[in-house]
Amino acid sequence: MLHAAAKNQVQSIGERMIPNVSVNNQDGKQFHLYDDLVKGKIVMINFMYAQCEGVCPTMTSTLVRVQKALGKRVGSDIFMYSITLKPMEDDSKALRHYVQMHGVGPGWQFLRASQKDTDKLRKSLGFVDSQPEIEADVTQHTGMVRIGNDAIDRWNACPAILPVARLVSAVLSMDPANDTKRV
Amino acid sequence: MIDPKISKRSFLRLTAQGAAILATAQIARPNSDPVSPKVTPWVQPLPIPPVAQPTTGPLSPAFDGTTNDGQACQHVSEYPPQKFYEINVGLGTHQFHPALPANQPCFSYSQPGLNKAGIGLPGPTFKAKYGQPIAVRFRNNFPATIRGNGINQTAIHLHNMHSASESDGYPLDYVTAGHYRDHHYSMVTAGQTLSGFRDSREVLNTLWYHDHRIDFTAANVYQGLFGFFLAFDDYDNDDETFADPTGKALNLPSGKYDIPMAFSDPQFDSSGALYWDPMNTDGHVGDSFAVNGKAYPYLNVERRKYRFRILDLGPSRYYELFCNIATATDKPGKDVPFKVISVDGNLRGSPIDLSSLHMTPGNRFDVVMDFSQFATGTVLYIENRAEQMNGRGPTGHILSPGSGRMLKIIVGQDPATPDVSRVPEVLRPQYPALTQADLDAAVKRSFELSRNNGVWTINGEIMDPDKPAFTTTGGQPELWTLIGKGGWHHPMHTHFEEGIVVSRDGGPPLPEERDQHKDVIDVAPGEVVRVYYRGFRDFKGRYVMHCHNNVHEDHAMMFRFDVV
Repeated sequence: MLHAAAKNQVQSIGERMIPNVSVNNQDGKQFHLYDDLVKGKIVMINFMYAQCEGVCPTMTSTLVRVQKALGKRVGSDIFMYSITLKPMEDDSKALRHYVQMHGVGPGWQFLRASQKDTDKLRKSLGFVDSQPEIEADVTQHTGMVRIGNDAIDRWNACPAILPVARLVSAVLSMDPANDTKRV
Repeated sequence: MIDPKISKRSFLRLTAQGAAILATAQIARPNSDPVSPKVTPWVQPLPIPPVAQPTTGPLSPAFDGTTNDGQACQHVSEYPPQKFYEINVGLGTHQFHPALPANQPCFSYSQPGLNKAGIGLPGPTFKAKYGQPIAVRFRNNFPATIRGNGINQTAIHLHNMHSASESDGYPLDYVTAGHYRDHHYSMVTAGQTLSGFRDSREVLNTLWYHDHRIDFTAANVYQGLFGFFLAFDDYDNDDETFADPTGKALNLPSGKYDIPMAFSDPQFDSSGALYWDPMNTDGHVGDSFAVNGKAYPYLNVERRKYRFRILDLGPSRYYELFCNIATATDKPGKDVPFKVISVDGNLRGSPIDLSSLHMTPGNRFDVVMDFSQFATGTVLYIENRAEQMNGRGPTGHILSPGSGRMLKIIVGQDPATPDVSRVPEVLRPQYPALTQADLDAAVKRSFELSRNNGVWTINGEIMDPDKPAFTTTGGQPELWTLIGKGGWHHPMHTHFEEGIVVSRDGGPPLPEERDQHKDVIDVAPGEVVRVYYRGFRDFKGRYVMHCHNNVHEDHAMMFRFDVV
């Protein structure tokens, strides 16, 4: 018990809650999600799939504008990840095409995991619904963006349809450098 | 699956007469969270928060009639502060129960010299009086960087106060670490700046202050940023012994017989540390109960009348509170009704007896309990019998007597001096009942509460702090239709002015809602609730309406409206 408690204290919320599953990006490069992509970083994580005709295109275009507003910080200390809900359908090529089509810049990676790990990731990041028929409908898991700073255990989630300035402010609120000033 | 017939509140009302009873003493909870360590109940007294003390002189630097971030305080020259307070907002330490770890980090409202006795929360209780404006300096004393849930930035909302926009804790008016913000509470009743007189029908009593920082309200309040704010006037005057020559004074139980109680449902991890799941966007449902920040406390009472000011602290828990007399073997016995004198901080025209208190996050009930009717040694429990599994709200099942015991009350001896407090049959003058002409003259708006793609929405929209959902002209009455879509309860809270429930699904409101000013109004799944507002009076500027399941609120289930 003592050991477990002590271990809990050193584990970050992200380490405890986000499965460290294997993922591939749009270029086929492999990562461990938590260790390589989240640990110690400010991150934005959302779920999508390339053929989504619902809110995904709007969401991606909003996030492209967020990426532009954050400028060079994306890829340097702020990292953006979109995880496909349909990894069987969205292979690397489809994701690369999606990246080009939407004008996604560097520092924002599109990721695919096994279907089983995708479901695990989705649930652990809070993209769930307690009503079974909504839970089973992938289109219902595409509206939010998980935002966090693993280094200080600060986590939040915002609707991806928020005004760009509000999303940018929510991301900057994750940065302790902004703790003493309004963002 | 949600059965709309079961989820409707009418079911809650029926169960007391013997509809489906789920006989379990366990609190229902989601399956992925940790389980709190078992603790022995009734081993620690209910703590009473200290009373906030005004400064002995002016603030330093002096209050300059602004909030200190460039916003002028409206009507400050007509209602200059007569007292000044300083509240530090920052880290504290707390212990929920003797068997749980001591000196746990918490968030805390504090004043120098107060909150020293291991009470990290709640914050000190304000006692203010109508006609005596105050200014409060909230200093953000958090360290420059903190680790963990919540955020070290704070906006303070005085829940249900008739506050000017700039002193209302607009969610983006937050103070960062190392800075302060001044709030001016003019202590006027709604309409007073227009009419020039204090309207007794608009006087408020049991309020509470809490954090409202955008995106982080739930986690900040859960970790300790809440306290009571009690307002008094010539009727409800904080002195049960006062022999009032004018006959106005109600002589309600006062002083140590007037006890604020914040009910909450903390969750602990296996080490006993307070647990919060920041990945949950649905609602927090903890497996433990606390009152004023202590798990399962007891309260020794004298054989006389008490006023309990009961607050549902949230962030997501609904209550159906019962008061049950335990048998000699500590088994559940007979229920006793609550004598309700005030709803959401509004004294009623006359008391009403309720067999149970149906509470949503943010709701308050003031009740008077007369313990002289019980023999010394009688034990009573305040029990929550609403079953709730998740952020959807109560399931509609009412648990059996003996379930959900939150507070143990032990009846002691007669008081040393006779109880002179009263519960008059006439409490406070009320407005006449609303007429069809009132409703016809109101501006109509409707708000559909829904969830799309995992996003909480109001009319399909989410909180845009830079754009009001609508503007209203000061004093214009409004009639809002709140429509609950999907399977969730949403306790809707309007800042600045109160609503009156006109109808629920075309039928009458709940008995305690009839002609009653309220600031948090529950909308059940599928329900259509019409709510009347007398108008947004006295002050102009930005305000918000939002779901007071604070987890929904933090995920943008809120809108801005402007009074122009």
